[in-house]
Amino acid sequence: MLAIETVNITKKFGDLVAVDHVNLKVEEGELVGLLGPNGAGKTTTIRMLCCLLTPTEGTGRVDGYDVQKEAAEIRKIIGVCPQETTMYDRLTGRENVELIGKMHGMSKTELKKRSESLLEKMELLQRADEQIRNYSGGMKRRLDIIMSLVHNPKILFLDEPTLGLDPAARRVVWDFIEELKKERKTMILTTHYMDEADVLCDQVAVIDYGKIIAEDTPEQLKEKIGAGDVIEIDFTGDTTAATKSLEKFKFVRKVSKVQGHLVIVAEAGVTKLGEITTTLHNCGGSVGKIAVRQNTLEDVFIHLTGRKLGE
Amino acid sequence: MVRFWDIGIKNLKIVVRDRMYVVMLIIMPIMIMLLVGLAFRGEGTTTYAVGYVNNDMGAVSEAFIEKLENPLKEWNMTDILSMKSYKDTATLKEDFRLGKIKGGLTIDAGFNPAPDTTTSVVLFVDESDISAAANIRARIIIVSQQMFNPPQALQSVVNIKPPEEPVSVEFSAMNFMVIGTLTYAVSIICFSTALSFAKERQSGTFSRMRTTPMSTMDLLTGGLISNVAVSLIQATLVFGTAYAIGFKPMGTTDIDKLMNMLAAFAVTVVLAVAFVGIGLVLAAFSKNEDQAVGISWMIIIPMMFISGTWFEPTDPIMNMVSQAFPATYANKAVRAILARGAPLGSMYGYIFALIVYAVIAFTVGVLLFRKKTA
Repeated sequence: MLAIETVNITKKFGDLVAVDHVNLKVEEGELVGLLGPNGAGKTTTIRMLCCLLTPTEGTGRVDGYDVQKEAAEIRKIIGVCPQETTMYDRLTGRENVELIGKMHGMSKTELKKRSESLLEKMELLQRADEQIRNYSGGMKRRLDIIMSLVHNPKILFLDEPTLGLDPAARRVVWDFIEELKKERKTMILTTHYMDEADVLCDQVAVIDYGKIIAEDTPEQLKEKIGAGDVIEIDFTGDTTAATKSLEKFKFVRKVSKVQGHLVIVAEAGVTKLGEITTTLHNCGGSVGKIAVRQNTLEDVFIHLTGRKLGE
Repeated sequence: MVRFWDIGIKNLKIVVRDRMYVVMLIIMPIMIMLLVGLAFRGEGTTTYAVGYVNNDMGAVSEAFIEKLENPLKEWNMTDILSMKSYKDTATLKEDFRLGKIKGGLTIDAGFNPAPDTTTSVVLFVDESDISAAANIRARIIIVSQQMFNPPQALQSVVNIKPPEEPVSVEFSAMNFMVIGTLTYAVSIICFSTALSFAKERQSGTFSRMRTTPMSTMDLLTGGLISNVAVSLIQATLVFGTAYAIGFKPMGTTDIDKLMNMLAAFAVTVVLAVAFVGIGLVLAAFSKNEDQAVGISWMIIIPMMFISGTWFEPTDPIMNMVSQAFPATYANKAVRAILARGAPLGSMYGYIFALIVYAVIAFTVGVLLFRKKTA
């Protein structure tokens, strides 16, 4: 049985179509990433699956339960880490965690044991009895994740779990998510961070303007836009002419213009830099900074939409 | 220069674009002015019911009572007293306690004032209603002056005496303020309820809790319990403070006084539940904490003006309007118990109205809150 399934799920706010006929399938024990820019519809999709929003059209099922008709059943088996830190400022970290556990009907002993273990894993045990208004943003974020997990949910929704975290804190969260994957927990994760989706997700659904525009494993998605290097060049000349000239080379897979520079996907790009820069000079422009790297999910997004995630 | 100017413009834009701010800043002062103006317009147009026992039964005393109700046209006075005859003082006092009359007048045999002879009457008035007390006393003096032509202006030949056993608390600024302050203090729970629920919604904690098996009803009932508990603590502290600084409710013995305080406390508890319900309704309409604060004060302040918290409105229409507010019933009941020693049981009408109000307000609050957060 699928852990999560949506069929043409749609959400409209007046004239705005926030989620547009999204079809999503998540197997049990799988971690699926929803990747897309702000306002793409990721959070709205999650909110519908968590029964916080009613779909305008289509259906959604979580562990076989209908999001519109069986919300009470769904709430028993899900854990949600919302995009913005939401907790009671005047409660301590431990009290916030235990409150969620109590809502799920956990026994005192079980709750104490579980919250202790999670607080320790997330390196918050020492400050667990402080009011969270004294916590840093990173600490609050980690506490948010603990709150979503305290009752050991079958299915976990993580909405931008590492947003605003420093690299070290991000690493802690990643390790923790990896551990949950080993436990075969079903998870949906939304993120802006390509590397996060790349490292953590089994499947990635790229979402833009409310629609899923691509869906596959991170490797397959990158493969689709072609293996090879990505070369980013600051170029001041006629980009249309330059693109045409570059596309004549067999080793060039794709040329895009993103935020004032050219992004070229090329096989063995490092060895072809000479040919590329000469071509650009011949097009009558000047070549500035050049960067070469392996292609990423960001390139997948650029390939699919013609723009960067942040645009 | 440019920065603070820009900040000023930004602030103004925020104010103007938020309808609730506009309502608070412009409509609220106008509304209060209208309410106060209407509630206290035409001083003297209100009729105060005064009971009397006429043990004299002579023509002079009958004429005096008749003129108290219907002064002669040439005296240029409006009719403000409605005189009601009683057979004995016990019934008179009982009706006074229940709030059916604002004052009681006893005229003894031999009532025959003349320019050179002073006669006494016994009068008690509701000292907690400053307007009624002043008007009733003044009317008795003025009518006696007009009827019996005292030798010097402003001197009365009818001497007003209080009853031997007090029927109302003695008038003092503190006694007067304390009674109103009790209901005012409890009304603040409406503000804190609206604020706490609006905060839950705005901060996202409400949404988070809704992803758990918690139902909206759990959240609202939890809110009712905590806010009523706060209100109980608040009322206890206010009553305790009033007692500590010398407030003495009506009652013949200390036990009586204590029981009257407890009875008034019971009334304020029901009022607190009604206010929590109103707070919930207000929270449903508030998009954020700022609005919750503003809307709450927009309800609390006008309500205090016309529900008789400190002054009873003198305008009959506004008196009718005041029936729409729970504080009106609580004020009447608390005043009757504390100022006139009315037994709690006799206040069933007001208490029933408060309970009905509390149930309706809470039910409407729950329905609205659920609808707005669905």
